[in-house]
Amino acid sequence: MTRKKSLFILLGLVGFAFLFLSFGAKDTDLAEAESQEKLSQNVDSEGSEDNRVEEKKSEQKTEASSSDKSASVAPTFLEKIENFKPASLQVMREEIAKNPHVTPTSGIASALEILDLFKSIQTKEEAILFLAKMKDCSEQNSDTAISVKSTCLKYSRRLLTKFPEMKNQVEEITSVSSERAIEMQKIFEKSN
Amino acid sequence: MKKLAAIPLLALLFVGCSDGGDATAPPNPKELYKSDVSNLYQSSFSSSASSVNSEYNNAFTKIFGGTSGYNVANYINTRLAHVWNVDDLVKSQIYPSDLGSSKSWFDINDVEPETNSDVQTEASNNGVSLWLVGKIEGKSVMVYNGTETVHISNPREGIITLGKAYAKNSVIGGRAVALPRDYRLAIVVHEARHSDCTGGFPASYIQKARAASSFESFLASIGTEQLQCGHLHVICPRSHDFAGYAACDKENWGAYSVGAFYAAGTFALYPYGSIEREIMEYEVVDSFSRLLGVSDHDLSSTSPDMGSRHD
Repeated sequence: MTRKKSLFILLGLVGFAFLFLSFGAKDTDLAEAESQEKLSQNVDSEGSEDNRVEEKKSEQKTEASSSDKSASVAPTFLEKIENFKPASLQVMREEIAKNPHVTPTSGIASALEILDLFKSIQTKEEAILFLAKMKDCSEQNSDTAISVKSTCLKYSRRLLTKFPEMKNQVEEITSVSSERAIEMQKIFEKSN
Repeated sequence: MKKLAAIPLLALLFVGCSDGGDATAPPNPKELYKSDVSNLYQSSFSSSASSVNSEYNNAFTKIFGGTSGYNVANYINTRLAHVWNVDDLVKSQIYPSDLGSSKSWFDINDVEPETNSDVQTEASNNGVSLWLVGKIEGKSVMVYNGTETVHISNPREGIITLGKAYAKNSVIGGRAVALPRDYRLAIVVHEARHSDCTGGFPASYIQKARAASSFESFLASIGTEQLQCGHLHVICPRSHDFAGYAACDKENWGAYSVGAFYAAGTFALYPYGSIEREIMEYEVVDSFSRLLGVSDHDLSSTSPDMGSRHD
């Protein structure tokens, strides 16, 4: 009986080890598959991004290789920055049409989204992508309200607290921004 | 008897709404308002408003009479004597019943209950418009909401009407957000400013208003003089983001300006980088962006007249 018991226990252990190894292998496969899926998702999203972001990404790659090789763009940041679109003037006007004196929630939502993006910037490459979006948003002819333009300008300037070496790029954005947005930003900074 | 409602003039005073769907809003905005105003007595803005004061010729202090919460509460209570919910406004009756009937721009339309509307109101001030209409038509105005009778004997008999969007929380861009108290109070400060008949409403204006066919033609008839009584909003010009809508001010120290200065003098109370602070900061730029022909220099080199004349 004792020998039989020992045999059963031994067989049980072998079986358990087999099962464990099998599941372990599956976990590894799953992790690899997930990794590949994420990669392909990134490739897909990169493929759908406009040329400007592509250019910025190549710029960042160049800069990364020449200056800080450890710097990169986190996939989550890339996804967020690619999906970011500030509230269009049309959307805000639709809110105003319903109630002319409303503080448009679409504008507030854009400001909160920019805040989120700003807070998640970790690397200079991410800052470059962020700045490109802020430039598009604050330009004179962009399809955004002055309040949103001004918010984008504010965060461009605020970026200098994280990356003071980007002063020239930030100044360039100010030079193409809406004059009224700059005026709003000036009033805001004086109140701060 | 007629229901008190959205006279075009009166509609000029509406401010704010949310994108709706807020299940956590307190049931009674009136209670929240009272709590917001009474909490002011424990607040001080001497530090948070120091930049605004130093850069803008003591603007915060001049608007509110000081930098304490007491000063701000006093500013509000002096101008907003009555606090209603939208439902109070819906069931209210206005006397005399023919008020506003002499002019198409005084047409009275029924106010919809909020449940029937896709726009949720935060707050409006319904006193000064009624006073102005009464003044122009030479009538004494009274309004009754079923529990309270208000004699609109002067512009500072402000009736602030609070909607469901006057709330602690809101849903903005799909996320639940706790609205800062001072965001709500910036709207209240804005509304309170409408209760100031700055510069008065002289007899010459009354004659011109009676002769005018529209509110715009009345404004045109008073020429370069700016009507500051009631600090009514004007139609934004073609070049403005909100062109065609009565969403702008043409004066340095109107309702948008004082609301913006309150927001500018309080956003520093919120942690840098917080959602609350971002909402406050956006309120500042949104309000300032509605000032027509008003520059940074205009704001820093002039002072607000916070008086009100009832004659």
